Amino acid sequence: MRADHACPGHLGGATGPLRSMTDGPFQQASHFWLPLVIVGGLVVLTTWLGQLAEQPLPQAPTVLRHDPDYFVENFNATAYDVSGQPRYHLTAVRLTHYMDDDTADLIAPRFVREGAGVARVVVRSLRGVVSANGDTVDFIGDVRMLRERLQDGPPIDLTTDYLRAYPDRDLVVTNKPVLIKDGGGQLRGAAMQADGKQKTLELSGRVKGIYETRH
Amino acid sequence: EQADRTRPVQIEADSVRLDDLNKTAVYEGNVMFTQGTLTITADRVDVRQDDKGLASGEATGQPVFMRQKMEGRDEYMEAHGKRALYDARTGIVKLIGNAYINQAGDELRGGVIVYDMRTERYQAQGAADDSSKGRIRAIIRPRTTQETGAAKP
Repeated sequence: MRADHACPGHLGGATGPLRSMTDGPFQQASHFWLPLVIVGGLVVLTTWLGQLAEQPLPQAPTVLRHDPDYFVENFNATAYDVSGQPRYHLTAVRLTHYMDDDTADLIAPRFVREGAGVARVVVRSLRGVVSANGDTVDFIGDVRMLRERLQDGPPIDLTTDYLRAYPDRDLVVTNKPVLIKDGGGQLRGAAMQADGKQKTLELSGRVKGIYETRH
Repeated sequence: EQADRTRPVQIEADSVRLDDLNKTAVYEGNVMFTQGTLTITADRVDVRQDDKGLASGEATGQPVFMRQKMEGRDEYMEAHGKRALYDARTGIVKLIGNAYINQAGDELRGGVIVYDMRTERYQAQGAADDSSKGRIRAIIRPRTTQETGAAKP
């Protein structure tokens, strides 16, 4: 039995191997392969042309630069608690919002936290930054925080270079040196955490307090 | 020294917590309390203020150490106890819990010792509120003749 029974022509002698090859299996194959090649070529051509057409027009670099998308003059915002009582106010001479990271810069921000059973806190600074989801407000440059006493007595007067407020968590923290005037006392610390709920204010790092004793 | 009580108080510590509710400043961690020649070292000092400045301080430690120069002479009072209550107005310090005081060589031990900075006198009280048996032990250093001689005007 001949090995390649699939091919009908005889193998031919040495004289015409090329000729026999053309009208041998290759000729059958070309009936089969040629249309495929043509169609394939067309497919490649059309996809290439399609891609060429869809290519976006050459634009500015795709990464968004830190450009403002809007600003507000004399910005004044008030947040209310569940029972409708005002919880805090945030005002600024100017608020500039940035699209790429959804943060906002504030000029001369002023933050007032008040409410039942909470020591009233006022924070002011040269500049401020509101985080994307708005859960922190950073105060930067000449920061001053005044915290009223629950009972009588002068408010706690704090100055530092940087302060981060978490309005919804009633927390104010800084890792910068802090000076506090507390009545006749003057306290210095390397970091500070003030918790409105626990009504405490804690300085850490090596702290130093100086108290006058007037007679 | 007498002038100590008019001097500003300086307190250093690892941390301080301003407590609105009981209007105190709580200093904690290696606390150093100095006022003129008076120095107190403790683990914790609670300071209370009134409108005229520092009113009182309560120190606790293992133990609280106290040291102050005597008026007009180069001798010191040293004392320690578990707790020390200092009234800045009256200049009275109350040492509570294995209290000990050494004033220019004279020693006194007891449950509670009250020291008056103005008069530089101290008295020991039976320690009703303290675990020790309330015994008081004093050692009075004999004065040498020159000292006693010098003391008489």
